[in-house]
Amino acid sequence: MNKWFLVASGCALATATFLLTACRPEAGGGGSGKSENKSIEVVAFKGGFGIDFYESSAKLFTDETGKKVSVSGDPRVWEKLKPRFIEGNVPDLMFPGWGFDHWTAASEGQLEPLDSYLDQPDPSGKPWRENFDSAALKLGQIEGKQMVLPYYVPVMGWWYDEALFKKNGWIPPKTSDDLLALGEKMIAAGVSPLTYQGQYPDYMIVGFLLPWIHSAGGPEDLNSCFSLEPGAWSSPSVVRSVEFIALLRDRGFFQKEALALNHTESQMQFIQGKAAMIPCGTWLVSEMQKSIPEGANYRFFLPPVFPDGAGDPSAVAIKIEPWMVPARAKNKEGAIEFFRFMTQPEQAKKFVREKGTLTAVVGSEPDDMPSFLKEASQAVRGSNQVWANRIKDLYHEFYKFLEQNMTELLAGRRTPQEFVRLAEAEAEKVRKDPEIRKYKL
Amino acid sequence: MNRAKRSRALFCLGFLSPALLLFGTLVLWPLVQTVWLSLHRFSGLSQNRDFIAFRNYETLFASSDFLKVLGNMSGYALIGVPVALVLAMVLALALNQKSRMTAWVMSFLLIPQILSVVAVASLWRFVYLPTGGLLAGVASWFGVRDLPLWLGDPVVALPAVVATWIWYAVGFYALLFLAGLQNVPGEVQEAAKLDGAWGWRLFSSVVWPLTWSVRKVTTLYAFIQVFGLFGLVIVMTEGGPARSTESILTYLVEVAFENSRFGQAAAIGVVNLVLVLGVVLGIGLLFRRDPAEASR
Repeated sequence: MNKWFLVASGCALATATFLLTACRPEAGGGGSGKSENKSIEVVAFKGGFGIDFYESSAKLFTDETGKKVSVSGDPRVWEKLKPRFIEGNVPDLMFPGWGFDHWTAASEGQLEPLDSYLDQPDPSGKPWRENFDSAALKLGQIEGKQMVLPYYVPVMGWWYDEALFKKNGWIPPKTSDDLLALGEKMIAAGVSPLTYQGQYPDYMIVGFLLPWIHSAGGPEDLNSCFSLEPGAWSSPSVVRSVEFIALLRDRGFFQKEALALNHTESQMQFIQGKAAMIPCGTWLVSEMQKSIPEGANYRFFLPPVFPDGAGDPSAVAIKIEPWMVPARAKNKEGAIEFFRFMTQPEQAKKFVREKGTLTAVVGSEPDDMPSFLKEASQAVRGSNQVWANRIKDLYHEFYKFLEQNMTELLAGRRTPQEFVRLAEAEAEKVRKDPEIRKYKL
Repeated sequence: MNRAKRSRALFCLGFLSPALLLFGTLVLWPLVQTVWLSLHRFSGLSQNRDFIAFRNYETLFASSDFLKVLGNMSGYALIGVPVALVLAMVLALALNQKSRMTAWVMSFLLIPQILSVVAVASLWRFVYLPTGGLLAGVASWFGVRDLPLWLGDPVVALPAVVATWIWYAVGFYALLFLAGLQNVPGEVQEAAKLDGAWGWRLFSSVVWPLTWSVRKVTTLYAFIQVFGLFGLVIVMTEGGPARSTESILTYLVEVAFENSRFGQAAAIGVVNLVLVLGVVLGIGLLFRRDPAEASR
């Protein structure tokens, strides 16, 4: 019995030792951030543009300054960052990607306000703030404070294949009337006028609904919607926009399979010429690069506007992919210095060349940009009203509801009146919910 | 307790302790933490936590989205599990006919289990694709053009995902049933046949009662698997269109990571646990007596 008792005790001891060893803080390789050295840790979302540019920038920066920068990232890097925020072991600089709720992080004091850094001079002597496009920079502000910084800036718009349009004698529509007239011709030619990324209703909201609210009611109406002001989601401009979408639906302007397609599937339909136009950001060409046939020439243009609308016809939507400095970062100065290096025009120009997208850095556009990027750039530079979809980041639950509402509208299961009534009711619910933080734009 | 008894208890505890320690550390403790977290407002982005008692649960059950998700889960469970199990039993009965093809057919049926869930989901996205997809292609051979938008129509998307899950799961459950059928003693079946029990009578009076334990385990496992649906839904539909295929776990991830409401997500996890426990108890009651034992 004694022998077996010893064996049993041994089993218990071995298990306890294993568990305690596995739970010690160093286990799992997450403890490197505790070091006191002043290297700069950068963590970046590894999306379509990868992290190779940030790595090569880090190497150049080290060569120039002698300061060490470590860059790491993966496609779901925000999931790895959250436990680090709770633990307090944060990187110095980060671009956490679309899954990170940066406004909640900011509201909980987890992000460093950046205004004082932006007022400091850059290597050329002017305030660093002036390196950024002011409209893009503004999108990183909340309640007057700069909490995140933009780097690359996708521009949102519609696309067409110039070859297909030339062959058929079509001209990209500038107004809603042009669109209605052109769409009939396209249907007669056996081509769906529009397709969309049905699995991701965000594309339809940014591609159809929000630009038309802006066109109908101007930036004031759009901002009221973003701020969930009473009556904003049932305002005449929202009603008009939703009715116009329903009109296009009823006239068969949307490819009927689109609701079942994800982003690449619908973009493939566009590339194959089954639909003449598609709403998408400036990443479209690089995302579909491998499938683009010889002779195709995809051109970017702004969504058609209501000719009598209050909004500026040159209004253009952009997105920012925010970079930020955690409030508990160990080397904030180093982080800022490195990001300032990345936002030097020459360095940003390299990004535009290598990745085929625009940046928020003034003077970062090389002369040899592809034509679609030039068009997008001209649209932004020539616009008096650059806007972005802010409601998506500020009110997640409401936005999710809006996406469902949009899907139901496009599926023909909801009338414009129902859409508007339900959207306003949902906005009212959010306004009354004390659990949801309200933001002033 | 005398010394011998105490020594024996310590002896047993010593052998049990590795399992108890692992269970306590890796299952019980996280479970307790989840329940505790569900009583807090917690964004998952800092250490700030406010105790709010049951408010997360109140919010959940007042949410039309969550009620929709619960409706979806009953769809997955009440359509998916019975259909998969009936099909699996039929297949197992067919495969139990000692044919040379049995091993081949069984291997074929198990192919979905060898594939990753992501591969299965991607494959079935292609099957359902309205332009150039397999179903659309087959239908067009027969001149049928107006098929539903399987994954794009809020009405048919859930049955479409359920059908995929059935395709994925049926081979595995058929294998379990086949093992159960092969354990039914041959002499019992022979005796029943001598008594004139053939076909349905043989199945319902002899085979069915004697596969009680495998049916119990299989039913339990199928329900637990359905309540753990995640990858299939994420890859096929991401819960859409209009939340019509959202499973409880995909909703949990959305609430935790997109909405930064980890406390509420923990409450969803607790509700899921209670649901699964309820189903387990229900199945336990349904299968509470082994009919073969009861008839003795």
